[in-house]
Parts: sequence; structure tokens; C-alpha cells
Amino acid sequence: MLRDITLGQFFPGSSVLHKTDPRVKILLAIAYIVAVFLVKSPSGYILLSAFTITLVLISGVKVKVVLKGIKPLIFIVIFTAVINILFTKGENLLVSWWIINIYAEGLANALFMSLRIISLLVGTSVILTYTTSPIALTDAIERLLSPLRVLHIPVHEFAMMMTIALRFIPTLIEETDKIMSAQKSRGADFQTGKLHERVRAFVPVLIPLFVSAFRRADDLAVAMECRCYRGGRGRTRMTKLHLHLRDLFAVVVMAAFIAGIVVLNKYLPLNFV
Amino acid sequence: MNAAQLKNVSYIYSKDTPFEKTAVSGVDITIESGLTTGVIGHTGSGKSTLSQMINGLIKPSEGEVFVLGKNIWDEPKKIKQVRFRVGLVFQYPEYQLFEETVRADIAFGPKNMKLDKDEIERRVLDAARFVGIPEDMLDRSPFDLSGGQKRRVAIAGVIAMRPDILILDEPAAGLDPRGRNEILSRISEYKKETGSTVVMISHSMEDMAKYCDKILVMNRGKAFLYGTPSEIFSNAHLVESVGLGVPQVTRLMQKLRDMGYDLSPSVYTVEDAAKEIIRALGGGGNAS
Amino acid sequence: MAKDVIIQAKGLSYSYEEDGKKTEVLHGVDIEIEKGTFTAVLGHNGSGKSTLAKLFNLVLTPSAGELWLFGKKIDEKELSDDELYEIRRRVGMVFQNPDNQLVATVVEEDVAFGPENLGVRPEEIRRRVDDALALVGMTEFARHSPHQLSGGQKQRVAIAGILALSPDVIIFDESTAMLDPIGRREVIDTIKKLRYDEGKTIILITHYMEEAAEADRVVVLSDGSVTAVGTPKEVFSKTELLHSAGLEAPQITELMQALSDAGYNVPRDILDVEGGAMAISKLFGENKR
Repeated sequence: MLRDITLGQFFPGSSVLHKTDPRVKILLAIAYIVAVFLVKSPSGYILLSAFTITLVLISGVKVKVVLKGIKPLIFIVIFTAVINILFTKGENLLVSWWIINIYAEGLANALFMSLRIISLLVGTSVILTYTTSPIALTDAIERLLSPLRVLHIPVHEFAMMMTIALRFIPTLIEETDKIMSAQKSRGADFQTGKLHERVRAFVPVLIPLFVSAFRRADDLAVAMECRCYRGGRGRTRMTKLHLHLRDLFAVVVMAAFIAGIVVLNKYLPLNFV
Repeated sequence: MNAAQLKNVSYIYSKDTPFEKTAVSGVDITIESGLTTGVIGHTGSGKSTLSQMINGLIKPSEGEVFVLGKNIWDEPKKIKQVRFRVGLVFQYPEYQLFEETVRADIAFGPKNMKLDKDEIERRVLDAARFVGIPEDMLDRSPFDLSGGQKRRVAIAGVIAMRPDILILDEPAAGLDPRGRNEILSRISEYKKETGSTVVMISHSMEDMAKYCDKILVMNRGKAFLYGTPSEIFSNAHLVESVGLGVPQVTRLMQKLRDMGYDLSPSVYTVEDAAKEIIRALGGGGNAS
Repeated sequence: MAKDVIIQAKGLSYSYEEDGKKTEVLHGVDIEIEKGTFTAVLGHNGSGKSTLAKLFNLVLTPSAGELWLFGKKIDEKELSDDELYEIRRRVGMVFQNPDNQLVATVVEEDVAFGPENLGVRPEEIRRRVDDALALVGMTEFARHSPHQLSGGQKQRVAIAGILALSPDVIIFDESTAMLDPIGRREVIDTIKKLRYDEGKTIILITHYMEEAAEADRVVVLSDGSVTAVGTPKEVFSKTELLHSAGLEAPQITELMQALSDAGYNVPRDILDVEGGAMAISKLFGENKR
């Protein structure tokens, strides 16, 4: 059961988005977030939605998967929408009942806020996590942040930690499964009982897990030293990242998109309320 | 009497996903009471899945599991009781120790059985004795013990539940010859003294030959061979055909038979081989 | 031809202190390892065999005695960082638990880890990674994640990771102990390939006799001291010495000695089935006469 969780939610594929340089993708994701917050007009929201849907379609990630990714956010979306509907005051009163006044502006705000949240999540996932392997992502972060080394920020160490964490997550998940089975064989019960009892039931799982994690860390440290690891200094990398024409193309598309939003905001807002 | 019976059981991992994998298919065997049954097979042959089916950790996708004559999935809510009756010692069990003292760790199972204090204490002492953990070690932290000692404490934790069937998944894995012999002979003593049924998974044919009354050879999820050691080893070529080794002396005897010497095919220990060769040579010492 | 000794221990000892209690793990170990040979170090758990390995690549510092590596006496205090890492590069080490020595989430990235640490040029790293993976037969798994591999495959990746550092000596610190028979076979076959085809010097630490039987030389460690050195044949025929060191001789050797003790005329130092069959068949021949 634990094994079914896939961290980072990377879906291997060969779409343009998969092939784009991970460093570029991180920058594009940031640009995309900025773009989402630049949207001020209904027409802008239409463009944003169309752009995001196009991203999903070209990524090759199944729509079902994307929808499933939105699911945990549904509560926040509904909550924001309700708050907007109830508390936005405007000029076009639609419904008035007891102390509740619903304005057209409120409905519009609710719709736009929902679109904004969903786009943020879907867009960044499609640009980054769904289409970039965790290792490429870590690598890209290290390279992008490498100028910070001048300020004595341990960029390499941070990236190394990320890599090792990613490497050991499946191992530790498997180990958790095994320890749980072993303690179940000794009559441990993880499913029934009151909340505090259930939390306590995990002690026999967590302690061996920690002990084992520390042992692994010890072993790994020695193994790394034996492979001449001495921190980031003087280190080279096997894979060099090269920018391609398609990366430039991606940047141009994103720039066009942002420009489009700005233009629509100003010249063709299509305000209906 | 049957200790456990597997009726045509199959198990498929991650059913209906791209990772679907058949671990066990159509296994139909009876584990006899009071015997030590050895299970051997390659990694992925289904032997571990099989053992987890007997104690109800895994529910077979198909087929039925009987323990002491009762279908264990008749009352799924009482599956915990089955786990107390069928004690399962996992591979590298020392990695599940967690309590502050050896005593408390061995007591974890009995405590979950809701036994009274005196009974728990009795069982802890008994179990410790079976695995050769001296009493003065009981108040130490399990994490301060040597690897072999930890292993024995973990096994004691299962023995303390006094299961009718004790299943051990590679109890000697990673130990040196001295550690192996110590653990395996302790288990064999335990079996003799309590008369309980033992199922032992191992990669070592030598150990199987030495300690088991019956051997089950698993191959690709199926029960490939099942019989007494002499039955199994007289079919040495079948065992070797699935890539498993037979003891060195068995191969030697086979080779001598192929060369035309009249020797028994079912010899698998050094002592028996020496006896058999001396018998064939006309007995007694050779005054050379 | 003069012997080319690349590792030499003279009276090497190691002890550590814990809670004010001093524990001596190794005392006065003398060992010579010749270039291009395959040496098996046998011993029970706690015999000090893993400690010895860690002394050889300077992960641990001896408390007494001399260690000579590649013709130079090692003085830890005099050693510069660069010299220390150069020795670690030349004396590679593969450990017991295959999971705890792989760093990266992709096989080829892991193999690249060592040369990357050395600051090797990217094209050269690529070449070394491809060569190392080919040598251990893992090329087709280059883009796999380590956790999808079997134990034997993971160990082969670990070996490739060491090979990419182009070491002279590779120490296998109980690298087969956690593997199933198939995995063990994979590792031993790889070791033999490295010794015979690549000319690497191999030190295999193990407690499996059948693995040690493949070596040129066997060293038996017991409670921190060397109790026997010789060819597998010489060492394995000393069954009593092996038993007192917590080890077992091969079944055939035990059988031959049982027959010999019963008064039959058979050699006491036979290790394999073929030799055993020959000797016993000779016995039958003599009997007919």
C-alpha cells in the first residue's frame, strides 16, 4: 500500500515539455506564476485557461492524472469561492436573502480565484514535476543556484542531500512495509483503537526505522568517502546541460503568453460586470 | 495430523496494475505436524509469500489456507489470533527490535496477546533460554548486543508467543558458519523440546539436508518438488535443473554412481557418505 | 622475477576505546598482498576481517605496526589530503549492504559519482562509466533506478562505481554476505573477470568457503590474529584449525578426512567433487585387487 505512493509524481515521456532543459523549465515555471498573478481581466483568464490546457495536452500526461492532482485542493478552492461570493460587495445585486447579499462581482471573483488556484497548480505541475525527473530537477536547482556559492551558501551540499533523500525514499518505504508486517506478526495492530492508541502503535515501527536510517547513513558516509567524495569543490559532472533551440522557443512562447496577458488586460478586457 | 494446509493457493501482487506479478500459483501442499519442513527456491520463487500466507499476513488471491484444521479466512476479524498460532520470523529480524530492554522486546508479542504479567515473564524467560540468551542480558538494551545475539532475541520474541507453527525466513542469513550452526541447532532443540511444527526458508541445501524432515522446492511460484530429503536428493538432477545446488557430497555420490559404483543415491551428509562408501568398500577399516 | 608487493602489513594492530574500555580488534597482523593476485580473507564475525580492510584504504588508522602501500610506508600524520584520496582511489572498496553504497537515483549517475569527485573531464567520465558498466554486464540497466535491481545487480553497479575510479586494488568487504546464491555467483564471476582479464588485485573478505576456494591465496583470521596463510588446498585441509576459527571445510574435504581417519588411503586435501570422485574410485580399484 505504501509502495503505491509515487513521490514527485514524475511521469516519464518524450513530449517537448519533457525535453526542455530543466533549468529553463524552472525559470519558465516562475514566469508562469508571475503571469498568473498578472491576469486582471476576463479575457486574460480565457487566455490563461487556454494556455494551461494546451500545456496539459502537449505534456502527454493523462487528463485523469491532472484532475486527480487537483483533488486535494478542492476544499481550498470551494472555501475561497464561498468567501468571495459572500463577502464581495458590488453594484449588481443578484440575490438578497436575510443577511446574505450576493453580487455579480462576487460570483466573478469566485470564478477567477478558482481559476487562478487551479491554473497555478496544474501549470507548475505540468511544466515541472510531471515532466521533469526528480534528479534532473535537483541538478537544475544546483546549477541555477551555483552563483550563490560565492555567498557561502552550501548549494552543492543541499543538492546532494536532495539526491540522497530521493535515492533512499523507496528503500525506506520498502523497509517500513517490512517492519510493519513483522510487528503485525507479533500482534501489533495499526488499524483499530482510539487515535492515541493508533499513534502509539507506530512506535514499534518508527524506532527500528530510525535505527536503520542512521545505520544506512553511517554506511553511506563511509562508502562516499571511499569513493573520494570531499564536498562540492573540484567536482565535475558527467552530464553537461546544453541549451537547445527548443529551449529558446519555449522562452519565446512564454514571453508571448505574458505579453498577451498584459495586452488583453489593457486593450481587450471584456469586462462584463 | 496436519499443521497447515494450502489448498490450491495463488497470489498476485498489485493486481490490475501494470506491475501485476504472480508470486504464487496453484500451490497445494500439507505441512505435517511436528516436523521441520524446509522451503528452498530462488529469490522471487514465492517462498516468502507462501510463508506470509500461512500466518494470514497475506490473503491468497485464490484458494484456501487451513491452520490446524480451520480455514483462517472464515473469520477475517480473528486473523490476529492466527498470527499468534503461526509465529513468523522475518529475514534479518534483528532490524525490528525497538524496546529499551531485551526483556521488553521479547515480551511485545505476549503482551499483545493480553496475557497476565506472570505468564508473560515466564514466557520471556523460557524463550530466552531456548535461544541461549542468558538472564543477565535481559535488562540490557537490544541495540548493545552483537549481530548474532540480536538475531536470537528477535527469534525469542516470536517463540515467546508459543506458536503451534514457527516459520523462519532465512534464520541464518548473513551469519558465519559458527553463528549458523548455533542458531539452527537452537531451533532444532526447540522443536524437539516443544514438539512444535517448524517451517524454515533457506538458500542452503546443506542446512536443509541437516535439519529438515521434509523439503519443499519452490520454482516460479509453483511447488516444484516436495518430499523427504532422501527423496529430494535422489532427484538431484531435477533440483539442479531449476538452478539450485545440491550438497557437495550428494554430487560426489551421484558422480560415483554414474561411474558405475553401487552407492545409495540418497546420501546428503558427510557422515552418511563416509558410512556408505565404507559399506560399499566392504566395510571395516582398510589396512593399507 | 621479484615479487611485486603492493600492500604489506607488519605487526598491524587496531584497537578502539569505548566507555573507557579498550577493545583490541587486530593484533600483530602480518600480510603481504602481491600485485595481480586474488586473496581471500576468511574469518568468523568479529574476527577483525572488516577492520583489516578499512585499514588498507585508510578509513581507519592503525594503533600500532606498519602499513606499506605501493612501496611507501604510510604515515597518517604526514599524509596530505590529496595523497589520502589518491590512496582511496587506488584501493577501492565494495561493501556488504548493496543498498547503502549507491548514492544516485540512476545507475549511470551513480557510477559517475567517483570520477566526478576526482574532477575528471565530462567526456572521460562518460567513457569510464560506459566501460565500467559493460565490464560488470550492467549496460542495459544504465538508466534504471537502483531500487528496481536485484541484490546481485546492485552489487555489480557498486563494483562499476569503484572501477570508474580505475583502482589497482579492489577490496570486497563481505560483499556477498547479503546476497542469494545467484547474486553471489554474479559477484564472484565479476571478481574473477576483474582478476584475470583486467589484472586487478583482489582482496575478498568472506566466510563462504566455496568463494575462498576460487582464490590464489587464503588468509584465516581468528580473534584478530592471522592463524593460517596458504593456497586454498593447504588451508582447507587443516580442518581442525578451521573449526577452531569458527569456519567449516568443504564437505568433500571433511569426507576425505573421515575416510582417511578410518584408515583408507586417500589424500586429505581434496576440495572439489572431481578430485573426490577420482580418489574414491582409486580406492575401489585397490579394493578389488
